[in-house]
Amino acid sequence: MTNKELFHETFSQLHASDTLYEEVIEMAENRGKRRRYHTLPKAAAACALAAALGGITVFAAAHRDFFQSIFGAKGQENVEVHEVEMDGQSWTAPAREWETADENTAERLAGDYTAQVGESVSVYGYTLTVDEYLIDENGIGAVTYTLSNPDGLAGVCDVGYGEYYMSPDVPMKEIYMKSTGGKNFDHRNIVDQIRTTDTELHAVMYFAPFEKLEEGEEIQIIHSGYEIGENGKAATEEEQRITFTPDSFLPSDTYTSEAGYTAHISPVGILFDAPAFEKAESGWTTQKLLITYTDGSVYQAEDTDIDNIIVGCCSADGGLLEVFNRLVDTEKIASVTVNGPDGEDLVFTK
Amino acid sequence: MLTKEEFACAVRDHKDTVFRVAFGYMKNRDDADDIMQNVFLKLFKSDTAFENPEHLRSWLIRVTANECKSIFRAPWRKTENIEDYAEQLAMPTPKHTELLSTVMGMPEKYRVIIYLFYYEEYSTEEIAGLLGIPPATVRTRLARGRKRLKNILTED
Repeated sequence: MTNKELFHETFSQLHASDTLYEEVIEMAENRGKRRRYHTLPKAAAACALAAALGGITVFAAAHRDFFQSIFGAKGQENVEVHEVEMDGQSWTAPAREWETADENTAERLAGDYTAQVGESVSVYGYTLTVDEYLIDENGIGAVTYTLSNPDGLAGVCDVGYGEYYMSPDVPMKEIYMKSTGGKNFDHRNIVDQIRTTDTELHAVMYFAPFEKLEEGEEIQIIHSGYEIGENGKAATEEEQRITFTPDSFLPSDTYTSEAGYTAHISPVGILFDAPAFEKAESGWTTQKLLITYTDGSVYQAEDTDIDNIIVGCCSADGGLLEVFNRLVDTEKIASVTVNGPDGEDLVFTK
Repeated sequence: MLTKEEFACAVRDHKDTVFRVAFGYMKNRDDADDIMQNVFLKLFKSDTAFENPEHLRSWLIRVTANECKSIFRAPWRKTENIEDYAEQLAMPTPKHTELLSTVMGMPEKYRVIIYLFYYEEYSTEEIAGLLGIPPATVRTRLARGRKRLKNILTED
């Protein structure tokens, strides 16, 4: 089979739905009936939480480095809304605002749920050490790790917003997460600039599972690479795994809306239950998340600052999971507001 | 402007191509569906006189690419679990599933070019014209994308 035949057989399996066909015809005839759409960003309301950044947060000694990495800016600059020009096209890229977390709050909310791993594996000269992690009862969390190579970290490419990607020109391929039960995670790797050196990359992997984890299910951080032979093809391929079993889960609080939707929020992320998705006519993607605290301040991820959410994914059962880029004090939440599947705002309260 | 019959034929004949290109960019079926609707709405309103089916197809791909690039796209986006999606599809062999997962696991700039080259069978020059980027850039990205696929592809 030629490569083109292989591609043809593979991608010919992807089809637009028949329902969609009818919708397109109807939309064209009606000229204006549309489903949801990610529009160009409109002017977002000013964030009430004008976080004062720049100072170095001092966390409680017990988990200082870990909390500084997962809840802090980790040396990353805030990103303003900006226009991006690439390949002759332009678009508006959203802002990301990091926020420092109060050390006592972090310790109070999450201190009892962090877990050390401290294991290392090596692939083609790149050593991965998984340091510490935090996971909530919905499977949302963050894990810190170190990638080291005494010869230097060739191939680490910045893809923007602090995220990195390995160049295909080096033998290290990627670091990703999976459960031993075969469940996949959506994740993003953000570089900790404060601790990273020429030979050690420190990073945080923020993650959310595509399927609910079973009790006692193990999680694997997979470190993979390949050695390129003289013919340009991989002569050998190697994959090493670090496995750990979470036994302490950060609790989440259940919030409900008047319409009967439910959400579960922990200091690291939020899960919207599947029924909300099922009620939607054509799927639901939140484009607004406002967490309003009892003092009136707001953690906002909407339109031009949507990147204040680091990971968002749809679970296999139709739920929706989002990972925060900061610590959320769940004891001080007044309400959570998102755009609902029917276009109206949904306000969740405990 | 196309008649309703011509428009219906265009939707029928090209909706999968538009969907696949949009999916290649967005990695999310809902987003790809939305892109597709907008593209065909533009077609419906377009006064372009299409010379032949190939002209229409390349016009649709170009508009799809522009639509994907011009909408509000955050580095953070809701993505789908490609492995789960692949399992729902009637892939002939695990190698096909692996190919889809690997291609969709690449950065956007590689996966769209790979799709257009291998599936739609456009030349690198034609892809450059469709996406509005230099042919040399297309060739570089194609070569880098192929490196990622070296365990799956055979020597052509």
